[in-house]
Amino acid sequence: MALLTINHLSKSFGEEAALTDVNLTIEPGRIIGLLGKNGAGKTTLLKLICDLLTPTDGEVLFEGAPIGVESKKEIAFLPERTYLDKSMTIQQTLRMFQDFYDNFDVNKAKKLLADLDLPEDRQISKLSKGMQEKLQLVLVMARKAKLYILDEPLGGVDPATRDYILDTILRSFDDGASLLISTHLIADIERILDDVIFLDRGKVLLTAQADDLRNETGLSVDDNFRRMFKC
Amino acid sequence: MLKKLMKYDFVWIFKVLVYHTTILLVVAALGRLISPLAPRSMFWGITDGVFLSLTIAAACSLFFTAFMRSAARYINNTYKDESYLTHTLPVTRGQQYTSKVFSSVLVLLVSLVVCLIATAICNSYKNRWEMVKHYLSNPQYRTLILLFVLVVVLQIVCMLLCTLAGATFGYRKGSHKLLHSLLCILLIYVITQGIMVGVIFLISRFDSGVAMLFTTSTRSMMEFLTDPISTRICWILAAEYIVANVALFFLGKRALEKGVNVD
Repeated sequence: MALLTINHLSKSFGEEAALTDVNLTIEPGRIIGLLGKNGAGKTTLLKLICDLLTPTDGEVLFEGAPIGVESKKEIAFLPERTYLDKSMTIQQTLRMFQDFYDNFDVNKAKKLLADLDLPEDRQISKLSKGMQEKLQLVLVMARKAKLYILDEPLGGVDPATRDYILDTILRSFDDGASLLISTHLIADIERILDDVIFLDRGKVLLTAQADDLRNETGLSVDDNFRRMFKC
Repeated sequence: MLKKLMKYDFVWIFKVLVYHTTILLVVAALGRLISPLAPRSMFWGITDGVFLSLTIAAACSLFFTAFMRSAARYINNTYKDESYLTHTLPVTRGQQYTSKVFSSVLVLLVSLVVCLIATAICNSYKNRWEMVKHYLSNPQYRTLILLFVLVVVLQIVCMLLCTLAGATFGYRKGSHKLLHSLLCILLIYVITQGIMVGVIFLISRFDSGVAMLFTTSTRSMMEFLTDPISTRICWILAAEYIVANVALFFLGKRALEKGVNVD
C-alpha cells in the first residue's frame, strides 16, 4: 500500500488557485524532492498533507485513510516557520513532545542538541532564528515516524551547516520511512534524492525517479530544473 | 490527551496572570492595613480611597487580561505560527477546542476566586463583616447575591465563547481574517443576547411578575432588588446562559472540526 496518496487535490484562496488537480503517490522508503520556484504551491501542498489547510477539492490519504489522529502520529512535519512557544525552555519543549508523541526519542533529541550546541536550559525566545530552526529539526528528526515532511529545511541555514543538517536528516530517519523535502536549493539536496516532483503554478509538471531523469536528459536534476523553469 | 492539552493551555494563559494576582492581593492587603487609619485625617482618607480604586482596577485588569490571554491563546494556537504544531499533534480538533474552552473557563474561575479573596481581605474588619453577615443571613439576599455572581460569570463565559466561535468563523475566510472575526464575534454576541431577551419577553407574556421588567419604570433599583421577582429573573437568566453557552460551545467546536486554513 502507498504511504501517501493524493487524489485530485485543489486549493483556492478566494479567486486565486494555489493548487489545481494534484495527483501524487508516495511509496515507503523513498526520499522525494518537491521542487519548484517561489510561489509554485510547495508549501500549500505540504500544509494540505499536514491538515493545516482544508482542501477546496480532492483528498489526502495516509496509508489509505484520511488525515487524522492516527496519521499525525506517523507524520513528522518541519515547517519553514518557527512554531514553538517561545516562553518555554528547550527542556520543557522536549517534555511536551514526549507527552504528545509516543515515538519521540528524547535521548536521541538530547544527543542531537548536544551535537548542535543547543543548551537544554535555554529559553527559546533567547535563541536566534537559525538556532530555533535547528531545534525544530532536532524535534522532528528525533521522532520515529513513517513520513518526514521538511519544508525548506536549508532556507535559513548557512552553507557550512547545510551539509551537517543533511547528514543529520539522513542519519536520523529509518530505512522504511519516507522523506518529502521541499526546497529550491536543489544542488544542495540532489545527492540524496530518490524521486523528484516538479511543481509550477499549483500544478505537477513532472514526477520521476532522480536517476531516470538524469539518464534520460544527461543533465543533473538542478540543471533540469533550471532549464524547465528558465525565466 | 485532553488533560495534556489543557495543562499546556492553562499554564500559558495563567503564566502572566500570576503577576496580576500578586499585585491584586498585595494592593488589597495594603488597602486593608490603611483602612482603619482613614478616619484619622484627610491624608489617610485619600490614601484609603486610592488603594480601594487600585484594588478595583487590579481586579478588572486581572479579568480583562484573563479574557484577552484566553482569546490570544486560541488564535495563536489555532491560526498563527504555533498552529503548525497544534494541528500536527495527534489530537482531534474537537479536543483542541474543548481544551481551549475548558482551560479559559478555569482561568476565569480562578480569577474570580482571587477577586473574591481580595474583596474579603479588603473588607476583613469587624463592621464590614457584620454588614456582610447581615446580608447573607437573609435567604432572599443570599440567593440573589449568589445568583447575581453566577449570572455575571456565565455572561463572561458567554462573551468568551462568542469570541472563540466568532474567530473560528472569521478565520475560515480567505482574506481580512481579523476583520471578519471581529464582525462574526459581534454578530454572534448580538444574536445570542437578542435571543435571550426574546425568550424573557416570551416568558413575560405568561408571567406577570417577569412582565414587570418591561412594563414598570417607576420603581427604584432597591425596590426591584428586594422584590422576589428579581430572584426569579436571575434564575431564568442563569438557565438561559447555560443553554446559550452549551450551544455556543458546540457551534464553535463544529466550526473548527470542519477544517482550518492557517496563516
